[in-house]
Amino acid sequence: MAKKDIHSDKELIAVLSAYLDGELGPGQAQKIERRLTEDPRMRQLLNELGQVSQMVHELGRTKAPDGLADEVTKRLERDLLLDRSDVLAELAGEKHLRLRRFATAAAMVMLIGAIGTIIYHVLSKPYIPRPERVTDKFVAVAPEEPRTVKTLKMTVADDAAEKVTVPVETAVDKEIESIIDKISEIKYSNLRLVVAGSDILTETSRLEKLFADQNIGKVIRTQINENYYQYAFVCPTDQFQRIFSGIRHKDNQIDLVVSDDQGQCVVVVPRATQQQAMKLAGEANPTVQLTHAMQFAMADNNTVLGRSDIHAEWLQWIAKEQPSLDDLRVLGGPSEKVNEEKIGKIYRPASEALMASTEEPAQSEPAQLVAVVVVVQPAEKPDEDLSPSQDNGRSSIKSNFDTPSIGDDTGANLDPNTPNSNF
Amino acid sequence: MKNPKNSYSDGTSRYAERQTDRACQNICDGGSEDDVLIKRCRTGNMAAFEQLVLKYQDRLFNAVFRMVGDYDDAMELTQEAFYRAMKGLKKFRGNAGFYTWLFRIGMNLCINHHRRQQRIQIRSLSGDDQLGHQADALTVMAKANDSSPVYQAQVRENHGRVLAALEELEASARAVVVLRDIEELDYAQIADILQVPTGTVKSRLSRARAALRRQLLKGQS
Repeated sequence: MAKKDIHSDKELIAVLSAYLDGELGPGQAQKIERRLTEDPRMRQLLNELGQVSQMVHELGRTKAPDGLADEVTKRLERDLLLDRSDVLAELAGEKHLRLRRFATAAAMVMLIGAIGTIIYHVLSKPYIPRPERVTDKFVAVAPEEPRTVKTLKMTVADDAAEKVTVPVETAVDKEIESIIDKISEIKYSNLRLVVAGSDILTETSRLEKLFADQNIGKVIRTQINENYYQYAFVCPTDQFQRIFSGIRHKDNQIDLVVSDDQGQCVVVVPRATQQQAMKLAGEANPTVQLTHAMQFAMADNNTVLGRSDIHAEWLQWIAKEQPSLDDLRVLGGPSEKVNEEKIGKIYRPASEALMASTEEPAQSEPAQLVAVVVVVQPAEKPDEDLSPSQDNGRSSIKSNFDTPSIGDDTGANLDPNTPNSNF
Repeated sequence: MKNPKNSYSDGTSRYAERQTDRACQNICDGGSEDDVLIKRCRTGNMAAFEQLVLKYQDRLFNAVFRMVGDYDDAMELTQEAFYRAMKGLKKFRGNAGFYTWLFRIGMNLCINHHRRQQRIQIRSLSGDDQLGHQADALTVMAKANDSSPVYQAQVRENHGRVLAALEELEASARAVVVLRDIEELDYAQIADILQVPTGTVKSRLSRARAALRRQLLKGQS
């Protein structure tokens, strides 16, 4: 019975609790209200439940502590600063995050692709050393530091077998050497141009503009003194042709200077024509180049023959016989018979060698490089003491080699009869 | 036990209806405003989130405080509830009100907290650490009622007994009582917050009230 009462109480409390909260339907509520009028115990129970509810309700409200909102906001901001991206993601929205991830992935792919392309191009190309000539930037190097000056005594013979001693001063510039070192593996010819102009500044500015127009990547300018400038650069022969054409005009003359490997034999071709210049520029073999130069010099009746102990006999033979290139027998001099194979191997010009090996030599021949040194100096005044023929020859020699000495006693080597003493 | 508002003995259902209507009205009033603030929150607007916190912090904190009985724990859990609400805004579909959703997070935190506390048994709803903050609430009530010191003492005593009785309840039962009698939510809303059927709310609430009644009557005797 007691158990039944308890069960009844539980059911009654459940119904009264719902009635108290207004959670009963209208029919059930009416039933309860009818029973409440009849059952005092039920009324008592409802009253007690109502009081319990009221007491809990009257516990009152405790306000949130001050700064709670700040604390929460700070915590979120702290998460943002610590890059807890899950909070960021919720704040920024999924779509935005998706875009950001996509952009990041795309950037990564592009970066990897670019790096891969660069690596591929670098690794796939064979290494070919070549001179720098990429930009039109003109590089000027001031000649502040002293240079190594090599003085060479040379005996020059003209038609009258007159011998004069000419000092040859070759400024060995380290930077020029570095350029030459870079292309040491490539076939190239050496050529020195001496430009005598009436106005040095005009001449140099024209020259520099020409280098820029012809896109010569690197030119080393050396100012010997206020009247002497020297430019060194390397270019292909076709480019040299344009440069030579640009340098040459009616107000100046260009002398070509060619020397052998050791610099002991030097030949000057005065007032050189473009054809002569190209012939010399196209020959990488110094000895053959020298021979060409001597031919040109003799043809111009400016007999300027370089002579050294080694090649004395040979040079004399050259001067006397004026052999053609095909008949040239250089090695060991004219008396020695050299078989054709040896000559072809050693001295045959590159174009001829190529012709022997291919059907279409002219088109497939790679461009030959020319290491050019251009010396700009003032045009020489006529020397009244010299005859016209002598003047021609000697002035050309002088104009080419008579650069002022720097800290050297080269003047002591000058023949007092030569115009060199005028400088 | 005398109830000062004992004027509804013959009109209980009307009182209950008024309570429910008031709760619904509160929630409905904040609905559209909450939607705007939530929309801004989703774009990363921290000011909008702060507005939401300010709007609901007192109600949530009070409910949490009644659940856990410790002021500091209540503050920590309330902060955590807001933090999680902000993190989970993406999951908020708007089927229920933001208030309901926020309270769901808060109540779950409280229930989990209660389970942890049960394992270590160190908290007391009527403990000394609650007296200061509880006294504040009582003082506010006493001033509002403009009652005598004797009445104030009686109210204070009653509150102590109610808190002690609440402490005896299971966390789930306590949550139902807090949401109904303090937050004045109807059964459907409570069911929505606690994610249980309405019948479960009804049975839990009746059991909780019966237990409270026993506890309070025992103390009275």
